[in-house]
Amino acid sequence: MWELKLQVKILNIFFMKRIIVDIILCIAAVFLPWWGTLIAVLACMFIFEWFIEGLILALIFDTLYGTPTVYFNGYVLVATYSTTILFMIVFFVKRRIRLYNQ
Amino acid sequence: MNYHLQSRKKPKGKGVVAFAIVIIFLGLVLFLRWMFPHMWGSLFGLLVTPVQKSENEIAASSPFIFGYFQSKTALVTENLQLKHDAEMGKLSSLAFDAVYRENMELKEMLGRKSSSHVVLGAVLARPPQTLYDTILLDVGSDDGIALGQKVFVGSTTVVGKITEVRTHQAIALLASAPGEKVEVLIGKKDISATAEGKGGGNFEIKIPKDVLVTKGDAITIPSISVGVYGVVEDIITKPADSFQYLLFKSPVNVRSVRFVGVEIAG
Repeated sequence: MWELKLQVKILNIFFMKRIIVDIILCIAAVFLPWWGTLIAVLACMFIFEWFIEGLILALIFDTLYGTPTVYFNGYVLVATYSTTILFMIVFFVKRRIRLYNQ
Repeated sequence: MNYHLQSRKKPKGKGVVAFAIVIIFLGLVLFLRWMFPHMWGSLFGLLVTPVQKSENEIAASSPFIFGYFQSKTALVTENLQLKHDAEMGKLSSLAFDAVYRENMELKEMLGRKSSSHVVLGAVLARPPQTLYDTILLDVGSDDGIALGQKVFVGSTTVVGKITEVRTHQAIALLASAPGEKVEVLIGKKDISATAEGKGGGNFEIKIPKDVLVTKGDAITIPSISVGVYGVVEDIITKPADSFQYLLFKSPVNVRSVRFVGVEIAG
């Protein structure tokens, strides 16, 4: 019984931490340069498992600031696509790193 | 006892799940954008506007906060320099205002009265926060903003055009965004050319070598209204190339601009 309680407590702390990080990231997206936010999201992808919030943040970013430009060949979801690719790369890299397999 | 990583059994199928989730996410994003193209921008815009406005306030007050820690001598020197610059600027501004007024009066006399007016907009987000070289404004279709309208800083410096309009917000693409092309006139002879944005407020114009251009020539908009993109800062010529490359920079730093004007016709 105490083991279950401990597990629930750990889970609560983990989710609490994750929610706080999400809020910080959302604020960072407004204050930091885009590359600063990208580095923060990349770090979170390594720290947390299945960091889908990064993709959602990228989508919000594109929806807020995105507009078709010549440089990006008219694409408006550049941040979303880039973060998705990054997410997949990090996913496979993490599987190859011993630290995440222990 | 340590084991080799290769000898451990890796959980199979996790990669497939990751791929499936990512594809579902992308599909959902595309579907929602297709179904409600403007709704999401307006919704997220409403949510983040208070935070962005507070960021503007913090940016405005930061010189006072950091100024407290500067040495007195440096502040006095800077103050004197700024006073001198302000005096010079005031004199130039007086001359400019007189010429500008005369220009408007002459146009009016010749039957070309300008029917446009300017709507002031606060800049909520600017590069490098935005990835696309865009600025987010707090004025939208409710304020008469429409696609293609020119965005000014001050009364004459053109910085971009409106590319997306929401109810209470608008996105302006900077004229200096990489790859963007704008029609311009160079110098007193009004040589027509196309300027290409290079990012960060920089532009490049490619024209034949035999066209006479000097440093300091104004780059203006080909329109009845007065608008300046910048002045020629550098001219690059190569012996083997029949073209010359004019480099110029926008006189305003968009990264520190807090307010812009949007020209509305009619």
